[in-house]
Amino acid sequence: MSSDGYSDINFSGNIIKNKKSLLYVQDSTSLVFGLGAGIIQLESLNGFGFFLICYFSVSFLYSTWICQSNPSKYYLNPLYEIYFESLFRELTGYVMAWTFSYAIVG
Amino acid sequence: MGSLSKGLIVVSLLQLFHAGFSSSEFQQLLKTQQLHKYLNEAGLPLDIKLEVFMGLIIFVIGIFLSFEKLQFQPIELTRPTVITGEYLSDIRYRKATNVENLTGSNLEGQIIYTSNLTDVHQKRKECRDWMNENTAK
Repeated sequence: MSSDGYSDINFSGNIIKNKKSLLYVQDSTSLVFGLGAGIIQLESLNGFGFFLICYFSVSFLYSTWICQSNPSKYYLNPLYEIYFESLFRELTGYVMAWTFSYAIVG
Repeated sequence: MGSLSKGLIVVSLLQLFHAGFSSSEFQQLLKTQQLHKYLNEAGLPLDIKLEVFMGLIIFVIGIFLSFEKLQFQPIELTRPTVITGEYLSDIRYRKATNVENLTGSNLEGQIIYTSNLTDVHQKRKECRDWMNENTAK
């Protein structure tokens, strides 16, 4: 890493593009996990536990597969952006799909 | 998105739909046959659960396979296609511009290659013609 001032400058176009890729993965998987939770009739804490396990598994897989185990190259704050930033956004999508499929199946 | 990932996503959604239908039928059976007290504790049959889990795993694999390594076609067709070997774009500015340099694209092109506001040669010609006409008189 060079010590000149230019090494810290980031390209905003790529930051936005990478963030969109991450959201695409997390949005689509959360909705399908919600459908799965409703189909197997999960209730209360089991459903939320299922979401947390699946969400963090997908995030970990993303950081190892798509980011090639070097997420700091693609995200400004990798731990926060990949694992926590969109947690509640995905939770709402998950709960929606979960309750929807639970009501249809049950 | 490649055909493999599309195929996997379709298969997984079909699996989920089938598992959902099976689960729904099972719930209907419990209601109509009054079997709640016997089967409630056992829950759903294992094959339905496994089908759901397999569908979810295949869906995730399909989504991840939809990412392809980035490649760029240079502006000059004689130069080879640039393949970065990465799924995402590097955010550091000095690395982000590598691809543009390799493909022959200029990031500052909008500033450098502005069209001329005034055609100097045309103006000079008009001026020369005017002077020639006036001096001839």
